[in-house]
Amino acid sequence: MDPLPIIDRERCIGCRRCVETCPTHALDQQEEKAYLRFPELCTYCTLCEDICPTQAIALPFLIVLASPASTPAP
Amino acid sequence: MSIAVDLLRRVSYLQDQPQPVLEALAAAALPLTFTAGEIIFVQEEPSLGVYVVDRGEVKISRLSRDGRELVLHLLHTGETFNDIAAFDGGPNPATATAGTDCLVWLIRRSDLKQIAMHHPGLAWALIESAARRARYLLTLVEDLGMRSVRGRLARLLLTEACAYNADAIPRLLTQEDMAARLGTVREVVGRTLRSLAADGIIAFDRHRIVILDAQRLAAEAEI
Repeated sequence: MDPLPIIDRERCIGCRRCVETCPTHALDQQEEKAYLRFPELCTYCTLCEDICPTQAIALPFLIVLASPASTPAP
Repeated sequence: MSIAVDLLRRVSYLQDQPQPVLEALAAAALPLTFTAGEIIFVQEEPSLGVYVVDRGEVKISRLSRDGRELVLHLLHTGETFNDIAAFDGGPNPATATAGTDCLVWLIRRSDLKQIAMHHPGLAWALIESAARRARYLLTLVEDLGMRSVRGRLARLLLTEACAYNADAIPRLLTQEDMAARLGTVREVVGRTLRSLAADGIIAFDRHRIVILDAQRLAAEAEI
């Protein structure tokens, strides 16, 4: 299953900025904490992570090569 | 429970040690278990000795005065940590945290010293290991002092992509994780990633950061 934004409920202060910023309305709030209500709508745009004042949202990324054959070793 | 000699043989600087040396180390080792996120030890506190990772992932990091974290190593089975403090008897040079649930083995400094005094081959192997760590830290100093964040990030992206390509184990990194590895903050990582994407070197594909032009990324990393 593809990863989804991780919301740290301990850090979330319920300011709703992520809910209002999300362009696809994937986020909502429950008990004054943000949560991913519609995961299927999330486009992984990172706007929620960018706007969160308490760093409560994190989006994990997988880093891959488009063409593994011609890669210089780091 | 006692540490398996097979595990000690996976430690890079112990692999050529004779069986009696490994058995002496194994007899001195103490098992410690930690749950994900638990602190194993804190920087600047007195050191107990050297640790060997048996299972799980251990994060070694330093915290700056303003609370920023710089991740120095992510360690897995057969890797050791806190060697330097075990050698010089000083405080822990960094903080160790369980990245996942983990089992580690502690060999106290006094036991390590006693075994090394009886086995010069082990003492020499420990010197070589300390020298390799010094070289690694010099590379890190060069990275932090002489490479831009863009160059450091380029190197990290290539390293992670090559590691994924080699062993196909998904290694998911948040921008916060990347910032901690690079000695910067998440906002800078975000801006730099977008700038690399705008230049056509990488692309965002949902949860994947795809390296489109590895040659240009290597040039950015000065590899």
